[in-house]
Amino acid sequence: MWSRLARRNVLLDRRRFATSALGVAFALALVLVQLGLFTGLAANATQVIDRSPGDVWITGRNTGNFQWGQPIPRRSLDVVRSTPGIDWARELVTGWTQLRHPDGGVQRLEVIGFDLQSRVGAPWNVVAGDARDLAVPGRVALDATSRGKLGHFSLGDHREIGRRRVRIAAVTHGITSFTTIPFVFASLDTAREITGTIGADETVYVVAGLAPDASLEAALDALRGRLPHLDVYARQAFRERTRRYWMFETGMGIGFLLTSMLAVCVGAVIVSQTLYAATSEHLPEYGTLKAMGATDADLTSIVVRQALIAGAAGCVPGALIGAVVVRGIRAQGLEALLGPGLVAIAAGIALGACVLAALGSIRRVRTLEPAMVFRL
Amino acid sequence: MTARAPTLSLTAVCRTFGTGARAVGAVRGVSLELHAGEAVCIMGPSGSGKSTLLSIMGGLLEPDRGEVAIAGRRLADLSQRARCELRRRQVGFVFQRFNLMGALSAAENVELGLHLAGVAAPEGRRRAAGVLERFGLGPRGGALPRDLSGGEQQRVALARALAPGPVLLLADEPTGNLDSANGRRVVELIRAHVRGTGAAAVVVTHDRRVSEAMDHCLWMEDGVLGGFEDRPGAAA
Repeated sequence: MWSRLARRNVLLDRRRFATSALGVAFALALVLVQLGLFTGLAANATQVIDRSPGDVWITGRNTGNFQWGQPIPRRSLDVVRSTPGIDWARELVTGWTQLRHPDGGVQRLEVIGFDLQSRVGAPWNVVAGDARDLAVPGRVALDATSRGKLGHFSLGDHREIGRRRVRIAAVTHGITSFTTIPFVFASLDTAREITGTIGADETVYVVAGLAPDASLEAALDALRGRLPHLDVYARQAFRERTRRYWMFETGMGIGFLLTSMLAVCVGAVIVSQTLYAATSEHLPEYGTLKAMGATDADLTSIVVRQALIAGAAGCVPGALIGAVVVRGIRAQGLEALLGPGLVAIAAGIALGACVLAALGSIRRVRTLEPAMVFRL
Repeated sequence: MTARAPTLSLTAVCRTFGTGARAVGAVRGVSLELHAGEAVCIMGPSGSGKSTLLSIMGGLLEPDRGEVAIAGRRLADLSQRARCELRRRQVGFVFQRFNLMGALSAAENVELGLHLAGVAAPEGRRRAAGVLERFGLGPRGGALPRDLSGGEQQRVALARALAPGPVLLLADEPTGNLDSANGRRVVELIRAHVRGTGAAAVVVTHDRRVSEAMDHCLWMEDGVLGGFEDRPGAAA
C-alpha cells in the first residue's frame, strides 16, 4: 500500500517529478563521466604493468609510480634470478626522450625498453610491422593514435629520436600514455641509447615470475633481504602504488571526487527541494495517515519511496547520457572506462543521495502533530 | 447513561495551550463515559475546545491532566506504537474536509483504512468494494477524490473510517461541507453503523439536524462540557 501511495503521489505531480528525475539524471551523468575518466586514467597509468607477465616488481628506492622509474644496478637481475622461489626475471627500461621534427620542433616521448625474449613491457595492438623486428638496433615502434603529436609516419620511415636516427619497425594503435606523452617502444639497448640517461650496467625495473608452488610472500621476503636498497613489490601492490600516487597524492583524484560530489549535491538539492515542496503540499494527508494510526516509520517509508522513485527514474536517462558522453570522450582519444559495475556504483550513490535529500521531508512528517487534522 | 463498560471514558481531562499569562485552557475538567451503541454530538461556539477534545478522545493529543480510556485501555499506559495500533483497529476518524488521499482512488482510500487495521491486500480489496457498494458508491470505486462530489467524498471518507469496524467513531463536522441531502445521508450512515455494530460515535457539529439525530447532545463552551440533553431513540 505504501509503495502504491508513494508511486501515485509522485505521478500525481508530473512536472515536479520530471524536475527531480532530470536533476538526478544530470548529476548521475556528470558523476559517470568523472568516474569514467578517473578509472580510465587509473587503468592507463598501469597499463604496462597490467599487460606484463610476472608476479614481482623490483624498483629503485621510493619509486612513487611506474612512470617515474629510476636506474638501479643491473646486477640486481642476477640476484633476483638466484633467489629461491623465483622462476624467471627480466629487466625493463623506461625513461624519457625527444623526437625532433624535420622543422626543428621537438616532442617528448616516454620510452619503454623491453626484453624481446619476454612479453614484459612489450607493445600490444601491433597493426603494422612486427615487434620482433625491434631486436635490430635503432628500430622503434610508435603508436598511430599519436600521429597528431608525432606528425604523419608510416612503417619503415625514419625519425630522429634521442639524437639518434631510428627506423619505425612496428606501428601500434590505441596505446595512449597516461601522461599524454606518446610512447616509443624499443629493445633494451635501443632504449638505453635514446634515453641517454641509463647506463649499460643499469636497468630500471626487474620483473620476476614465481616458480610453480612458490609462495609469493616468502619470495618477497627473500628478495627484500637480498636487495635491501631497492623496493620489492608484489605486482598488484606496485599497480596500486602507481594508481594511488596519481589519483590521490597528486590531487587529481580529489579533483574528480570533488566534482562528482558537487554533481551529487546539486542533484540532491533539486530532489530535496521538490520533495519538500511536495511533502508540504501533502501534509494534511500525512497528518490524516498519522491520525489513522500510521507510524513515523510508515510515513518515512512513503517519503523514502518517493525519493527513490524519482532517483530511479533519473538513473536511466542519466546512465544513457553518461555512456554517450564517455563514448564521445573515447572517440577523442582520451581514456575513459564505463562498465556496468561503475554505473551500478554511481546509481547507488545517486539513490543514496536521494534518500539523504529526503531527510528534510522525513523530519517534516515525523514531527507532524496528528491533531492538526482537526484544525484544518 | 448505562452501567455497561464504557467504550470511551474521559475522567477530569484538562488541556492547556501556552504558559503563564498566555495560557489558554482549551479543555477544562471534562469527564464523559460513552457506551457501545451510543452516539453523542458535541456542539458549541468556535474556539470552545471541541476539536481539542476530539483529538484527546482519539489519542492524538495527550491531556495535561486526567485520564482517557478506549475500550477499557488507558491511553496513558500505552506506548506511542500501541496507541497507533489502537487507532488503526479501534478508532475511526471522519473530517470536515474529507482528508482523502488525493492520489488514491475511492476504493484504494477505503483499502488504506483496512490495510492499517492489518487486513491483507486481497481481503482488503474485497471488503472495500463491499463497503463502497453498501454506501452507494460501487460504480465510483475507481474514481479519484477530485472526480467525486463532496457528498461522495464524505461517504468514501466514512467508508474508510468504518470499514475496519472501529468501536469508536470520531467525526468532526462531517456535514460541514455538504448540502442538506448529502448531510442527511452521511448522518444516516453513521447512525446505521452505530446501530448495526454497537460502536460508539462522537460527532462534533454546528448542524442542528445532525444533533437531532444523535442519542445525546452536549454543549461545550470555554473548555467545559455540559448541557447534557438526552434524546432517547432520536434517530431510530
